[in-house]
This record gives sequence, C-alpha cells and structure tokens, in this order.
Amino acid sequence: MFALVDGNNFYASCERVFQPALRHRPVVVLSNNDGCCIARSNEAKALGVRMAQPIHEVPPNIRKQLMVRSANFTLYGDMSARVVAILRDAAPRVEVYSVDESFLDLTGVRHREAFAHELRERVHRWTGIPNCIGIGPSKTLAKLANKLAKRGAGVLDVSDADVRAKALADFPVADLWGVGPRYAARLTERGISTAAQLRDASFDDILAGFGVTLARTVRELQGQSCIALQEVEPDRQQIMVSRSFGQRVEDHTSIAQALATFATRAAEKMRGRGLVAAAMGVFASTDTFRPELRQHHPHKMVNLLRPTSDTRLLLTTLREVLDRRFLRDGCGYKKAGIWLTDLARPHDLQGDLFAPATVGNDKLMATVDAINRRYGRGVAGFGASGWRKTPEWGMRQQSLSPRFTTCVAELPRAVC
Amino acid sequence: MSPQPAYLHATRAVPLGAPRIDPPRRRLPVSGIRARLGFVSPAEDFQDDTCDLNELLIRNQPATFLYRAEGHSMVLAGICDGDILIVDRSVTPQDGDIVLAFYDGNEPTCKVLKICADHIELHCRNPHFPNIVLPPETEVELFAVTGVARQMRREHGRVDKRL
Repeated sequence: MFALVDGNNFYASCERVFQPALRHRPVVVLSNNDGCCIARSNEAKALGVRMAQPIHEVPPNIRKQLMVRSANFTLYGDMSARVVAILRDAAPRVEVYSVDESFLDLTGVRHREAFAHELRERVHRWTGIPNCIGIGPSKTLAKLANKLAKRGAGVLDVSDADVRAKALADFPVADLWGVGPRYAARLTERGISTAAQLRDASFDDILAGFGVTLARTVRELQGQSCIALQEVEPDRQQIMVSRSFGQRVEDHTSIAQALATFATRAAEKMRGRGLVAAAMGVFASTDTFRPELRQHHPHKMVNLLRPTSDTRLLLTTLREVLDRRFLRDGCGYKKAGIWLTDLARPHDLQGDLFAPATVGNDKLMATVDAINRRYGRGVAGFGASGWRKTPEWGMRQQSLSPRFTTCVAELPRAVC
Repeated sequence: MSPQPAYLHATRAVPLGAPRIDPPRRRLPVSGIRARLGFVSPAEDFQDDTCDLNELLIRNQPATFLYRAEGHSMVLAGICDGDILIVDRSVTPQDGDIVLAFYDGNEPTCKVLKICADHIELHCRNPHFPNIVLPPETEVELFAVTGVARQMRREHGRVDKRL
C-alpha cells in the first residue's frame, strides 16, 4: 500500500511560511531569470494565472494584484528536506520523488486514514507547509488519490473497491501519472477518456498500441502494484548545469567565466555522488526569441583523456574548447551550459598497463569541497570562474526573498 | 566510553520527544590532552564525548526555525535585541510560555503567552512596553520559543558580524 504526500503549491507555500504578509494573497513564484510562473497560490490560480505562463503575458490589471517572488531554491530545498525528515520518521520506507512529492510504503499500517490525517497535520504544523495525502494499492492510484484529496478533505484512501470505482469513474485520463498529452489525445481517439475506461481497456491492445509503460499503468489502475518504491536514486547518467543569462552577453570572457562556474558546479555535483566523467559537453545559445538578431548555437562534445572528477582538468578542457573559436564575435548569447556524461563509479573502471583508471587530484578536490561545505558555496574556487559578485551573465532575480533558514545573516525577524 | 557510576544504571531514560534524524553536528571538544612524550596522559581514559550545541538547543530539527529578535520588550525575560530565537514548531505552547505569535498578517512578535477565559494576551517583559490584548476570535498562530542564542560582542568587535 502506498501513500503520496504532496506539498500544496509548494514554492508559494515556502514563501508564505516566513512572510505573513503573503498569506491570503495571490502569490506567484517565477522561474530563473523571472520568466514564467512556476508556482501559484490558490488565490493566484483563481485569478487565472496559468502554470508556466510567462509573467509578461499576464494581463496588467491582474499582474498588479500579484505578490511576485523570484525562485529561491535554497529555501525550497531546505523546506523540502525538513518535510522528508518528518516523513522518514513516520514511515520506514520513503521515496523522494520530487522536491515536493514523496511516496511512502504503508505496508503494515493498520489505520491508514487516521495515520495519514495525523501525518498531514504534523507536516503542516511542524514546517508550515500545507499538504495532501493520497493512498492506494499502487503508486499510480496513490497519485490519483492525492489529486482528488487536493479538492476534498486533504486525505483520500482509494484502497476500498467502492471508493476507487467512484474516484476513477470521471477522472480524466490526461491527468493520470505516466500519461502525457500525446498519449491522452491518442487514447481519447480510441474512446478512452477516463481512468475507469483505461482500467477496463484490453491489456494486450494497450501493450501493442502504446508500449509497456502504459500497459503497466493499466495494471496499476486495477490495483496491482507494478512500479516499486525506489528508495535510492539510481546513479545518474548525465549531470547538466546550465542557466539563462539575465541579459544578452557578447563578451567572450564573461561567457567563459559563466561556463567555468557551471563546470565547477557540475564537478561538485558529480563528486557529491561519487562519480567520475569520461566526457564533457559545452553549449551556448543566442536569444531564440529574437530571430532578427544574429543567431549562433554552438555545442561541442569532448572525450576526456581519462575519466576524472577533478575540476581543474575539466576547466583545462573547457579552455581548449573555447580557444578553438567556439564563440562568435557580435553574437549576444542568452544561455550556456555544461554537461558531464559517461559517468561511472571509479571502482567500476579498469586501468590499463600505462595509466590508472582515473586521473585527477582527489585529495585536493575533497579539500575544496570540505571548505565550501563548511564556509559556504563558492568560498574556495577557481580563477577561471571570475570573482565578481554580480557578473554580467548573472540571473535576473528582482524579487528574491532572503534565505530564511540557511543563512544566519538572513534570518526572519521577530518583533520584541 | 568510561564505565558509568552505578546510580546512572538505575535511572530511567525518559524520551524527550519524537525520535528524529540527527542534525548536522558542530562539535566542540571539551577535554582531551595529547601527550607527545613521556607519560601517557592520565586523562585519556576519562576522555568524554564532545558537547554539541545543536543537541542542547534543538530537540526536533525539522520543526526548528531560527528568528532574529528585534526590540527591547522582552529584556527582563532575557531576550535582547539581536538575539537568535530558537522556535520549535512541534511544541504546543502553554499559558506562561514565551511564544512567537503570528496575527493579522503582521511580522511575528515574541511575547509571553497569557491565556484568558475568552481571549489571548501577549505580555511584554519590560515595564516600558504595553501588553497586547488580542480581541476574541482573532486568528493567531502560536509557536513555542524553546531557546535563545547569543554571541557576545566586543565594543570594537572582531567577532564575526554575521552572528
């Protein structure tokens, strides 16, 4: 038996915990560079603000009423970790599915609904994040129950056959977990538009027409669990760090510094997972929303001589890529990024007669990481990243809230 | 671990709260002498663990938030301007507790909770400040302040300004 715990309008709720003035007001959180709405409070939804809607497309009379915040992922990450810690306390097996969603294994829990109500209340009380819990015999059903719980009492258990039948009867197939808009359109053509119809569809027909993933969804809707709880995230195949710039950047040095910063960050992430990379990709892109400007979208994939997690070797490789006229003069670049692929754990690799399996100074990197963990990200770094506080390529974050929970200098105020 | 005195075995462990995940540790060594030459330090056998301020001040890490106190209305309760308040949202505040109160969309305020028959009052601990009387039916959220942290600052301090 599974439960899905999902924070309501998670990013907007995080902002509200520390800013009482935002309560009962329409709150919108914008993506990096203050582009699109990525979270909306219920009040903002009621005003008609759509998910992923660019903020400049929101009519001015509505925009005036909105309380807008730039994405503060430091804050959201910390709040998410708190919620997960509470869930891990309550249930023995937890899968962190996304920043605001976790699956729980409820095997052995006797009074599931009472348990869920108590847990929901506890998460809300302890962290200030309102949430909903859906319960079902498969992950797909738990997810569906969660969606319905949002509109109802906050907790819904569809393990009972009658409750389940009612829940599936008019649940649109497009809203199901694992059904994208394209599948939904094709299913509707075949006369399958509700979850109940998909549950009753012929397994073989779905398998033949849509493949094993959707066939599994059919089984899951029938109450048979096919997708197991994934407690440990499988090793990544690829690590990507990319950003849109706050403005178009022509200066090659600035872009090189941006790329070096991303490479440094990607290497940190990779070391955090205990991996090494055998290949690195570099890309940059001009403003595709302004086709009248000169366009250039260079990308380059380089094999590293030996797998490594050493930032210095990655920066040297990056330097070589940039030296070979990677960027063009007179182009305003809007986005750039680094990706590391062909990732492996060092002990899975084999050296040969002439060289060890991996290269790089692991001790030095471990020291740099330890310094940054202790004194804050970016305290120890590499000259190639540039050291400007507000680099030309920096993100636009005009309404960024403080890091209330992770920075002593930015703690919320309490009036005495 | 050194052997514990007999009377400690007799005491019962009383759980202080829900089991939880340990917070990241800040360890401060309290004892321990390393002898380079000569006799082995006689203190070595008595070496204790380290003091962990998080363990002392934070009982339930995921529910604990820090706030910066601003103002002087609570000085007689030992809360000064600039102190860090430790707020444990999992503790239910009772009459007489120091609380953080959220009401009317104001910034949260730190006061002493006074529960009356039909309303709630927020009392100051400084005679120069008036108490706050919340009319009945006011929507108010209350959280217990379970600790205060303060770093002493020198007049021309070299102490890190951030704290």
